Amino acid sequence: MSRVTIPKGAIDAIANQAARFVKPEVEPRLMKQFKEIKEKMLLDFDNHPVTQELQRKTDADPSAFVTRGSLFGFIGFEKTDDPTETVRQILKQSSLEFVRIKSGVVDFKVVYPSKEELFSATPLPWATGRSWLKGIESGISGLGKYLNVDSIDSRSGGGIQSETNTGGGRFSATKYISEILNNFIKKIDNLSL
Amino acid sequence: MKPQFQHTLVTSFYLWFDNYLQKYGEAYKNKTGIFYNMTDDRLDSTYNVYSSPYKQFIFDSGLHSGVVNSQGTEGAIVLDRISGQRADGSAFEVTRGTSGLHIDYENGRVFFTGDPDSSPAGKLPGNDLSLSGQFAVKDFNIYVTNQTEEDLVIENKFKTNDRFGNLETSGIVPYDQVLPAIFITSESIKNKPFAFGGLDVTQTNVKAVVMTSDLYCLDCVLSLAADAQKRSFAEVGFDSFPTTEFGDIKSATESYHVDTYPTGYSYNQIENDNTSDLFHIEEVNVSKLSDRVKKKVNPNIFVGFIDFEIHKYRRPRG
Repeated sequence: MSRVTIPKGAIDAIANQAARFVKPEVEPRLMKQFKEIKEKMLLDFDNHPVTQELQRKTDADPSAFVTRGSLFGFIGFEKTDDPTETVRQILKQSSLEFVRIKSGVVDFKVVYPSKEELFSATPLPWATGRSWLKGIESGISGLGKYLNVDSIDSRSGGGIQSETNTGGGRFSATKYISEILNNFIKKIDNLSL
Repeated sequence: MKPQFQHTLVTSFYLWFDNYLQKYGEAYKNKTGIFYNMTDDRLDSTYNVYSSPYKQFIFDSGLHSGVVNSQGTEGAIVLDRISGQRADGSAFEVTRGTSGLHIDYENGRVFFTGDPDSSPAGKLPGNDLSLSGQFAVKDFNIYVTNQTEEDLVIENKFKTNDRFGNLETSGIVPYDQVLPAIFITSESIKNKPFAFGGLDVTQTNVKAVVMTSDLYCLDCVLSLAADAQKRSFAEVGFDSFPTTEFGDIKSATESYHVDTYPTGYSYNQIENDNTSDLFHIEEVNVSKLSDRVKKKVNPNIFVGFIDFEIHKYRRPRG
């Protein structure tokens, strides 16, 4: 039986042509899977106790994270602030994008925010070089609650007046955005057709 | 208990940061000043205490050589003698270690048993002797604290010493913390596996609160701190901290100290001697208390925050 050798150029040409046919088949399936993973990430974020407490603003009192008052007031947000929405909007921008077809390979890339991007978008109200989002995981000073004193120009109304109570709440650091992002990345790594 | 990693880290960081500000920021002023008689209940009554209007004094003699600062002198002057004039006009001088002269660099003062050559011997300044010395004062005092940021900023009852503008006519009270100052605290510590064989990277968050009445100086410190990212600094043992319980440099005559500095303390020398055991500053984040909220605290004080993430590769389990 004679052996047939197909030239490499021909194999490449076939692979390239095949990839063009494969892409329309693969892309919708990948997009569907990515959409599910992304929705799960947003759901994890929305359902996280920190997110939920911050969304309830000063009504989340008692808090699971600070020993007195609300987490929202502890950080020192203003009543009109919607800190979690900023994070959600950035997470929502995560996307799956087609890159190219080369040597028979169809390339896609997943775009998602880094922790550093998220931290720089979430400044503390009283020290804008610090991130409250990072502080949730690494510890956060209780300065915000004192600056948010119960006065006419009170901002969130959830603070503790310093002259009457200087031994106010303490914050317990907790896993938050890192865990959500890590779970997301793990699922992206396992994406398969 | 024996000193642990945490103690070594804080000691090393304190000495490095102090030197870093002085070396790269020239954060000191050379002064010639009078020492005033003071009382201190915490000390034995045999000590006669004379305090300058300023604290903290620089005790790092390594800053002196080869440095030309903006004042035209060659670096920071480390106080090592006091001098004066007797009522009869004759001059006297006492060097550190003689006549019981201790220098409390931390509190800007000296302990002195009297003029050895006076008649009668041991006459004390304050009666008919004047007492003065040359010293460098830090632009920023550095304190290790366990107070929280809110305690420091909200409850601040610190004396703001406008030490370079006013004519001071009395000594400064010992032990009080005086602004401008930097308060450092080691907040959290975490070991993460790094390599086979039990090598971990120990990540420590050291936080510093900078408080001053001068915005220019605050910006200087924050800028210098930000530039410290990716630098390394030498490990200095807890027992090797250069000053005694009196705030003086450990001398060889005090045999109970583990490490002494018989020829003076020089951080440059420590750096040269410790090139292998290093701490690494992985990340620095600086921030200022915003003006909007600063008014609610103390409008005359500017506050900055520095967050250092310090890494050390070590084998914590053996």
